[in-house]
Amino acid sequence: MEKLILENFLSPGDIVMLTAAVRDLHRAYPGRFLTDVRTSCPSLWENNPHLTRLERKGRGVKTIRCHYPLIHKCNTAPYHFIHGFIEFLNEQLDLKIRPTEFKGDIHLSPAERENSSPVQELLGERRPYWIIAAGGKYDYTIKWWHRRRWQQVVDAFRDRLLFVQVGETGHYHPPLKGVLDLRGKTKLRDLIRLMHHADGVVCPVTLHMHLAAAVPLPEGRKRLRHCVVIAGGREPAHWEQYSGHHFLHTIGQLDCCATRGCWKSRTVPLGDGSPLDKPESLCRDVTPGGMPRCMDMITAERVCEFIQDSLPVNGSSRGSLNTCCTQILSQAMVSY
Amino acid sequence: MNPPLNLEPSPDFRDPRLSRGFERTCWPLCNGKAAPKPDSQDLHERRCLEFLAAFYQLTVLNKRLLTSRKAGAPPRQIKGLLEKIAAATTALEALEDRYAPIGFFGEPVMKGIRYHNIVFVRPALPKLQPKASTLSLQFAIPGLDKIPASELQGPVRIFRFGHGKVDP
Repeated sequence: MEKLILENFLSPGDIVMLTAAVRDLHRAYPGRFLTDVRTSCPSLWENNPHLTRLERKGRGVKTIRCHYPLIHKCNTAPYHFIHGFIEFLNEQLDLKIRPTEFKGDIHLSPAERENSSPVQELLGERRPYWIIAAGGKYDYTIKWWHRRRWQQVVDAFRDRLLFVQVGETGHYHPPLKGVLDLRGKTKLRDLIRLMHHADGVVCPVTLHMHLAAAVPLPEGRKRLRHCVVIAGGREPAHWEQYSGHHFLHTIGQLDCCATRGCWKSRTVPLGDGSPLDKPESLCRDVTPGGMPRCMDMITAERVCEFIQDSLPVNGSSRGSLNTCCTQILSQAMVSY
Repeated sequence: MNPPLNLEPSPDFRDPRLSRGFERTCWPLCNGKAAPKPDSQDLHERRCLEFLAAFYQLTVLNKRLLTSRKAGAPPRQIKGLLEKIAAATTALEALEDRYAPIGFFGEPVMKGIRYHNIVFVRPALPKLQPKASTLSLQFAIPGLDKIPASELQGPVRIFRFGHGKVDP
């Protein structure tokens, strides 16, 4: 058996993609490899059946620092992020791994599957909910949508849909009104449990989007977990979008993303000494409202439509919700 | 394409505390504490002052509206005040928009009609980073919180962590 330690210390979303590569490595070559990992997010690997404890200095153990150079072709080549680590391992190890599922590989313990949702624990009753991640890291500000638009989305579904706001402490996650606020209260494993029971997710291109696809559905649930992604023109849709997700992008609609994702990092320089402040990493088209134009083009109304379309249809509520959305949004738009 | 946004406080900004007729009771707290001094040179503090002044203006107008209504002021006067409140709200939103690209804004805590305390979402200016590294120096250690408090005192013991499990 060949022994591999796979290393990567990038963001959690990247690590979710590595989980898919490990799964597909074992499916393509059953019994040939023993694998272990060293990553920035050990929580994502809990209960993973493909891992065997290996020591770096152990006999015959090979350590591979994993990358995904495929990203440099993502604007032109027909690949999804899920191919990134797989293609890298194919090149490094002369293999022919192929993706077997269109999602990362997150595993729940029996207790995590059986336990009620964190929302049910908090509210004392079982309620359907969506996760809302209304922000992101401070160093990639170009992914942010305006906080008032997030609020408009929440307001449009007031009394009809529970949103649970999540976000890491130290990142930009402005407080929203009318949500269950779990910002800074969910460790990664809590977030996975929360995701397990969630009906849907609305977020920018971020970890939550990857988890929406990767975290198993509760037993008996047939419909996939919805996800509305507010993406703009930064990344090509085919590189990020999962089956069944609504990926709201603007590729082809602006000069700066006329044929490809711009892959810029920031709306304006932050003065923190990061190379992301360099002109080549800055948005070329910022609106007077302070948003990248591509993000500005995605209206709260449009996001609401996609969420609305994802909700179960049950007779009268659909019509009345649409009316409610329209009324609240028209009021909100007046001041925006 | 638009020119780069100006993220410096406006040169026209005047601290209301320096104006005649300043109403001390309408001036809000800043993150639960006294506001920075009017002559502060710190960029972050000057941005905070801009927001405090905008909320102050709203409180002053709300107070006047309440007083006018109680006194049975004519509709024309009430209408004028409502228009001023609408303009002050628009100005506040424009201020929020200006700083939206860096995620800076003040979230008010109300006391009645008064904007009592403004909590700023971005607590300080971004810190200068060391030279970019491809490695994360900080990462989660699952299981750390499961170590009993009693084990955190006394002689040093070594714990090994892996895959979310703690190996004593």
